[in-house]
This record gives sequence, C-alpha cells and structure tokens, in this order.
Amino acid sequence: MPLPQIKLSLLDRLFQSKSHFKIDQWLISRRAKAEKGINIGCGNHPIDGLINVDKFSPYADIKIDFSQLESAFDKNVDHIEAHHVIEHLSFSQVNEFIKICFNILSNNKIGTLVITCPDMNKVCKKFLANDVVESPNEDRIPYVWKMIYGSQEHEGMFHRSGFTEKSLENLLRKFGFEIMLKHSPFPNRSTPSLCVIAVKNEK
Amino acid sequence: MRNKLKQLIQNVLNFFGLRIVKISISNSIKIQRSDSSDHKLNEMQINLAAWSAKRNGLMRGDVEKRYLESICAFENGHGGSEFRSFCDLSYKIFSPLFGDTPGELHNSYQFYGTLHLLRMASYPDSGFSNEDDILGDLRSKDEVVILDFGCGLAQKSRSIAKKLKVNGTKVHLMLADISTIRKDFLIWVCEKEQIGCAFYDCTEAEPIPEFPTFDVLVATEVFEHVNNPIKYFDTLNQKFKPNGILITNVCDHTNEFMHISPRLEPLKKHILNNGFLEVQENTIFKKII
Repeated sequence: MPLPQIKLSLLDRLFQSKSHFKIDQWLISRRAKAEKGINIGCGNHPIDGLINVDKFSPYADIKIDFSQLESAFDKNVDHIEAHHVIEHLSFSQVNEFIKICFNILSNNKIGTLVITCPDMNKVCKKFLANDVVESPNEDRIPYVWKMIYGSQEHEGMFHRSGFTEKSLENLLRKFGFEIMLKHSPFPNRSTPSLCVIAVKNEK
Repeated sequence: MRNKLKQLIQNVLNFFGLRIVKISISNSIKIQRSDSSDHKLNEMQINLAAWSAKRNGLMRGDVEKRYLESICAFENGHGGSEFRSFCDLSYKIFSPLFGDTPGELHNSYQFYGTLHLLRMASYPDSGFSNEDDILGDLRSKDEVVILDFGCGLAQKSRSIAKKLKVNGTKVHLMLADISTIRKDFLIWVCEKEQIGCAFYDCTEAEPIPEFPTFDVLVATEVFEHVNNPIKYFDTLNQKFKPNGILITNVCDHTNEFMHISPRLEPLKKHILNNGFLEVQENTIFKKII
C-alpha cells in the first residue's frame, strides 16, 4: 500500500525529531474514559473529572486519609492519579499506599495508576551542580534543599522518601502492577520530576 | 543544418540539465542526466540487482549496470522529483485501466508495483535517532512480534528487528502488503539478513489478514491509502498488545493519486482517545491500555 511519491527523507526527519511524550494529552483522554477515577492527595490542585481526595485540602471531594481509601472505594476504581504525594510518606507507608491502590482498582477491567514525584537522580545532580550547601540567609531554605526535604511549611510538607524511575518501577511491580511508561521529566516543575504509569490488568 | 538543429536541441536540454549522448539521423535521441559513473547503488538497490540477476539467470554486474542506467535516466535518480513526475505521467496514461477509486485500488497497486519498487529501493535504510524511546522497553523482552502493515520494503521494521536481534531478543517479523513483485524480493532480503519473517497477503477479499497479537505495529504511509483509516486502525488495534509501540505517520497528507484519505487528523484523535500516548509528534505512539 505504500506510495512512492512520499520522500523518505521527509519521513526520516519526522522520525529523527525529538520525542516529546505528551503525557498530559494521554491523561486528559484517560480521565474522560475512566468510569471512576480518583486523584489522591489533590492539595490545591483538584482535577476536573476525577474524585479529588485529600485529608486536609478544601478542594477535596472526599476528606479522608489514604488508609481509609479501601473502605471508601470498594474495588470499583479504574483510574488513580497521585501527583507529588508519595514523597510525603515514609517508605513503609508508600508500600502500604501502593498496596491499597492495587486493591481498590477493579478486578474486572484494566485499571491505571499514575504516580509523579521528584526524580531523585536528577534532584541529586542538581544539588551537586548548584554547589549551594550553605545558605547566606539562615532563615531561608535554599530551594535545592527543599527539593530533597520538602518545603516544610507544615507537617504535610516534609519529604519522607525519595524515588528514581527504577526504584518506583520495582516497587510497583512488587505489588503486581505492570509498568506501561516511565518518563522523566514530567510534570514540568522546578523540582525535576518523574512519572510512572502502571496498569493492573483485569483477571 | 543538422549541426544547428543539434545545437538547438542541446540548448533546450541544457536548460533542463540534460545532455545528448547520441543523436542519429533516424531522430532516435538517447538522453541521460549524467554518467553512470557519477552514481552508486545503495544497499537496497544492490540487493535488488542481485535478486533480479538470480531470478533471471543473469550476471549480477550486468544487472547493476542496467540499474545505473535506469537511475541515470532521471535527475537525482529514482528518488528525485523527475522520477516522481514520471510516475505521475504513468498514472495519467494508465488511468483508463488503473485508477484510484476504492474498487480499482487493489489492482492498481499490483499494476504499479514495479514502479513503486524502484522508487522504494532508492530510499535509504534508516534507523531511529531516538532509539531508546522506541526500543527501550522492547529490549527488556525476550521475544518481540512486529507487524509491518503495508510494508513496502519494510525499512523501518527490518531496522528494528536487526537492532533487537543484536540485543539478543527473539524477533518475529510479520510483513503484510498487497502481493506484488516486491513480495518475493522482500522474503529474499529477510532471508539474507537472517530475519525470520512471514508474509501476509492483503487481498481484495481480506484486506486485513488474520494476525497473531503483536508488540510493534509499523504502518507508515498506509492510512492515507485506505478508504476508512479508523476502521483499519480499530481492526489492527484488536491484536495490539498493551505497552506496544505504533510507528506511523498521521499528519495530513497531500491530495494526490492513491491518497484516498489524505486527512488523518480524525485518525490521530481516535488513536489518542484509545489509550495511546503520543511519544513523537504524529509518528510514534505508545499503547498504554
């Protein structure tokens, strides 16, 4: 079926252009298609079309702690997003969190889990490259430190764990997820971030 | 008088970059763009010459010489705009018999198969600059199934297959197209390159043959040539494994012969609404679910 009139050089140029991973575009499509999608730890950034869950946020549709997710959603969720949430949990809590996410995703249809968090590989490189170990103003925490330890404005803004693409991939696999995409940088933030999209396949 | 005529013809030809090689009283004028020594056959063309020689019981060198003469008949060879004009002229000449209405297309592809083969053989074999994006996840698999639908000379899919093979991955390459002279040549090339391949004929009765599931779908320069691109995509998508890669080109195409569905924006939207993530604009998509 190919036609000889297309110059391959043009096609090659297309193939050799830079990749751009339109994750935002995919998320919009996925949110629209999901029957029940939730955004865990929405903070001040609720997402239209998803049920926004957060213990403290005034924007939350449901104000619960992540440990209460199983009772709130009885295996009938097919899409979960958690943007810059897991780094605020301890490593053992993250294990629990992933396990709960797996459990509340439906067994009868494909369920997707999207996690974004600081990319510790890049954060560390940035920290070393900045060479800002001492702050000239003791009252101000340099941003490069906040990337690692959180902004610390209140109890919920401390970072208690950190991940690389690989470590998060391994963790998700441990709980039965299949990894569909891991990509860094995403989303576009001052703190270098990574995104992993995992799937719980229907039984 | 004859000299003046010769000079006049030469001046006109010079204007178009041609030159007279021989002019005879019988008005038989043989023209060529350049000396064959100015050109070299690319790897695919060398293969095509070797295959043709073997097929017809000829000396390979003789066929290569013929091939160079054929290339030199056109400015920039078979890949240039002059050859394209020649194709356009051929489409016009044979349009009473081979047009591009849906009912005629199949026969037209078969009829123009040789012309298309020469054009395709002029394309360079090319890989990908962003291999990690495309092959990254595939490299971790023990076995990868690739379908090249509307395969042409399968430059992209063979390139992927070869790279994965080097990586130690077992590759199954499925090539699907309307059966033309290209089919036997392609099977011969794959054997030579030691790529295990199976060829599926796209027939009028069964334009999309029954395929096993696959990890990679290469469908470049395909969807603009079919009557209902979304239907084609949906049928192929049923056999697409999750986490697979779609390599295509869904930018809008020009209105030209055999581009019966030049507008592919609706197809792109459809792809994006069906669980695919755009990795590279219009050309590479990753199936998430």
